[in-house]
Amino acid sequence: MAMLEVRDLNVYYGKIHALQGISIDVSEGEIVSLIGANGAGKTTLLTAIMHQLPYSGTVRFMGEDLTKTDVKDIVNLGMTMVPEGRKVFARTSVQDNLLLGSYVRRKDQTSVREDLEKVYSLFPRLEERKKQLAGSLSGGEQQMLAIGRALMSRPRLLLLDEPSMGLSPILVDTVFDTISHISKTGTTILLVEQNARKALKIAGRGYVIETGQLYLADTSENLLNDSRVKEAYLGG
Amino acid sequence: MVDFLQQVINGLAQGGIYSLIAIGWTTVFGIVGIINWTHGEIYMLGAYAGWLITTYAHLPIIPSLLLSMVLGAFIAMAVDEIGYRPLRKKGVLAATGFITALGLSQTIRYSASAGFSPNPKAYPVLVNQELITLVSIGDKKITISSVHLIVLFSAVVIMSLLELFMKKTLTGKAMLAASQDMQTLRLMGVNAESLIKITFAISGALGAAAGFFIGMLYYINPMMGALAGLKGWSCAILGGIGSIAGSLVGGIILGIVENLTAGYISTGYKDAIGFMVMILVLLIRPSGLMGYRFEEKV
Repeated sequence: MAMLEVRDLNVYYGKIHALQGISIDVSEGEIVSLIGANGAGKTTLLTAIMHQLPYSGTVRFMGEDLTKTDVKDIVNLGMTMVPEGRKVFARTSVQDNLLLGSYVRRKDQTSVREDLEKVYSLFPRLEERKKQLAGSLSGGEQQMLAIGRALMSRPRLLLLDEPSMGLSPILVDTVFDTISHISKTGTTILLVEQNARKALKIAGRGYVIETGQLYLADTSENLLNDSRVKEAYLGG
Repeated sequence: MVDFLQQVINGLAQGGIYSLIAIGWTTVFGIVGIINWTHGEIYMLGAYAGWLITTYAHLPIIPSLLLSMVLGAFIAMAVDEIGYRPLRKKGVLAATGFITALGLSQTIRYSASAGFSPNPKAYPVLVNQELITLVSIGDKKITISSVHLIVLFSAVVIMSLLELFMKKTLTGKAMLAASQDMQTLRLMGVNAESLIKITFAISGALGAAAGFFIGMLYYINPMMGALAGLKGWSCAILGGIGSIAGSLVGGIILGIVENLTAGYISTGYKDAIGFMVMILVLLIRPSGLMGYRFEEKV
């Protein structure tokens, strides 16, 4: 049984049928990439999985039906999302941003401290700047903070929405290295990306969505060699 | 110069009261995103709660104050539960919250008028009124009344405790984060509804404390919430909306400006000049004295 099962998911924005019966699976230990053009519905899909949008269809996580579950309980079950555009709390210090990420585990301060150390060893820049306001960080540092903040909830499944957006090529590589590293430490990852080549390279499997529908589903290797994918997403 | 300083000192207690009202406005606005027009009424009800407790239960000042604050907290939470939460659930709070707030505010105001009668009421004497000399310059003295001193001191203590709560506790940090981005905060597993209730409780407690302090200084009446509420909101904007320190500064400035106007020009102009100073400040600094301004980073 897959860790995350999405079945026949439909989302409407008013009269616009934004997601049209999408079904995807993510199994424990995998990195799964979801690629597609701007406006295809990738962010909508992640947002719906976290139940920050009303939808029809079913979402199951670790065997639990999330159709009626509130986002705060979803985080408690072990699924967290790094939202598109980082969304760090700009007027809050770096360290407090991280501590807010551990909100669901606030009763267990010893393990929160441990995780804080882990995040700082993963991103030493954040430790150097822990007292600064998050709004004063560079874009790359903010992305590290957003990922670190999500890790603070100890997720079993991490949803990442366009983590490389707006970053310089070197930082893009760093972000993808970080994602591989997080995966190796035992966190399952569902990655949404516009940088299709890099996203498929670190993933085992991938999905391609186009205008709200599932277009292709295959192993990363096959997708990277698929002529349709090459033409539309990998620059020919 | 001595007269001037004396007028400034006389404005401090009133300023501290404005600050307390302003903080109540600014926290709810920052976190829930509504201009809670019932805030002036909660301040008024807090004043009446204090009047009932001190007059009929004969409790001393500190328990009376604390009890009024607790009542204020519950009233504010009830206002949210009855007035705003149903709208929030339907997702129409932003569009309709203002009308609801005005309606609730009028309902509370006139119910209080019916219940307590429109006649002003006075608190019993809680502290002995005496003038304390701060400094003597030649044969002139700068003094502060003991009641003013206690009001000012208590207001500062309450605000310091709030600041400590916001800076040191995870709930306080979550409140600051909620005022920046509630949607993202939910992704951390924070229960937005309980955070909103805590916010209303704090706002109500501060409003009631302000009402209690006014009761120690002046007569109270059921209509007192209208102008004081408006002034509190203006102080919150003056200081920079969303900033607790800004509300504190905004309140103190208004208190002093009003007193100087009353002392040097005329009591009749004090409200008008207070608001004029505020408009001038906002023309120069539209984000308020201590408002946050961040440049977007890529």
